[in-house]
Amino acid sequence: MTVAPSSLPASGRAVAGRAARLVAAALAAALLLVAPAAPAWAHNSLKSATPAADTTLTGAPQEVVLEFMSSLNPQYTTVTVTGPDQQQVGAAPEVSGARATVALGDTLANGAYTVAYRVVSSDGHPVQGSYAFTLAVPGAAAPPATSAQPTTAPTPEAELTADSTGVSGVTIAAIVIALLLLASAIVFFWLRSRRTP
Amino acid sequence: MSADRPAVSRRRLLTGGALVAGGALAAGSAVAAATGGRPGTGTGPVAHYGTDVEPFHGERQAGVATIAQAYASFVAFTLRPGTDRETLARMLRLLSDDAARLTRGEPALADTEAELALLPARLTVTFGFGPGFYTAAGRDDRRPESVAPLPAFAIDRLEPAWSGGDLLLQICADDAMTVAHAQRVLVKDARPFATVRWVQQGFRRGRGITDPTQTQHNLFGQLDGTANPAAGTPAFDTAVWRTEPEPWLYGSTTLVLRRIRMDLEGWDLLGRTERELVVGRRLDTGAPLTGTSEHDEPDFAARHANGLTVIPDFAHLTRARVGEDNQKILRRTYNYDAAPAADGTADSGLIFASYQADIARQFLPIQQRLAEADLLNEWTVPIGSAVFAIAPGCRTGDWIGRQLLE
Repeated sequence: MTVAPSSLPASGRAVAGRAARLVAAALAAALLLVAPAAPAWAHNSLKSATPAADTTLTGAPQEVVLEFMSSLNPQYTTVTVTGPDQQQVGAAPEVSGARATVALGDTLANGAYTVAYRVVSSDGHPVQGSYAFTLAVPGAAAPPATSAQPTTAPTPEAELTADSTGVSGVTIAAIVIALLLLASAIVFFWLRSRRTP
Repeated sequence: MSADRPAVSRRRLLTGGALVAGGALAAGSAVAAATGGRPGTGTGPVAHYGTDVEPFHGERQAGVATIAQAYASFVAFTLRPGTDRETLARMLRLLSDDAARLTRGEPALADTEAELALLPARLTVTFGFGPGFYTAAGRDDRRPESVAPLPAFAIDRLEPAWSGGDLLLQICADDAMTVAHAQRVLVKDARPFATVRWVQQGFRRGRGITDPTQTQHNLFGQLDGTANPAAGTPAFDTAVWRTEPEPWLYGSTTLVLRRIRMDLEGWDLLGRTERELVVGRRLDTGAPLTGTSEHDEPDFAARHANGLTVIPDFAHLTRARVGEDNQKILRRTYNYDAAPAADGTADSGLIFASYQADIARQFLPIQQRLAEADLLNEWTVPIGSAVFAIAPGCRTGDWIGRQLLE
């Protein structure tokens, strides 16, 4: 037994007003979830890398620089650079804010390199991933003949990471739920206001 | 004795107690004979685990090398002001006598619930002395140097309510009733000498639930204690027992007791793979990530094809690892599970009991490495810490602590 909002007593109008505000708040929350900025509770992920993934360089890089979405914990930041002979090159990473820098030595052989990282998000969750680049300096030593070239196929650990700025599954589920709730709220209050006495 | 003793003569209680005990035994064996001794069919002592005894007397105290019993109560006491060496001797004679009787399945002297003493269920009562005990005894010169409050670690959130203590009684048995009764007897008899400071009660798997030699899980679901030295091996003796010739040191060890709260709510948010990265071992088998079975040696140098080490640098396994036997610690840990909050938040964790011959050589370096970097710290918090010397054992007719006090 509901009535149109305009004919409700004062308390009924207050309820309708509150309902409208709730709907507006739900809408705002849903919009926030869709927004591109990384919420505080998201896992850290790689924002950019130099040298970039899947590129071929004609000059040896001095360093590898990884830029992440959030600040890194130096205690729990690992970056490895593995050369064409499956040996690690470069120094331990230097961490500053959200950036990890690995200084590389002078003598780098041509061939495929794999950069791998293992960091910890602010909620303590470990995140890891890797990518490859190729060094092809003209006139430099050929890649070692004995070792097979590592592929640039994603490693098994990649499933743990959000390498790109893509939104995680959890976020998508949250958005869907929020929109469904929003839709139901809108329909419910619309139906209420439509019933005639 | 003091005025708060019950107004019944000790002799009457003794006689009455002995009659009750004798009667119960007689009745029990009659019933057992009639029913063939099947569990649950009579009122007498069960012919299996309930009557198992761990000897109290010996060169070393029981309850350290003893296969961990299902239930434990760690009771710490604060000595009453003015307690001196003579008073401590009286106290230890009494408590040692209580322990010797109860561990044999006999009621203590003036035991007001004599029936509850009849099923010892592998009861052990282990005595520990805190720094304050040595001071009260005027024996600071005999206190091992590292039997002192631990240095502060960045991860600590220690609460005084769970920390410190002058005297410790570690009461363990395969039956909770047995522990409760022993604790009641000992607390009452300690009353003239000391007040109860804290009690930490914990549990492991029940007797007969699983192979007692197998590593058990903790409430994180993690197999806990894989790298423990095995009782009866030279590695164990090297790690645990002191061998200095002084009679108050020989056959002794030390205990670090840390109450570690687990953030189970946060732990819930970790996927299985992430948990295994944090710990460095598989949850189901306890195998290191580089191995297939629990006791495989971890290979910290092994790397994935992409260059990352298979076992993370920050894994608990990596940070806690020690190589030499004389650097190892014996963990005899119990789980605690207090009532959850109204919203269901868990209040659970570990009563982490670590035994080692030398705290400074063995425990502190490990704890320091863990405090500096161990990803498991995200979900654990030390909220209590206490250090005790575990006195040498005593022979029949003797009492614990005599070598220290005399």
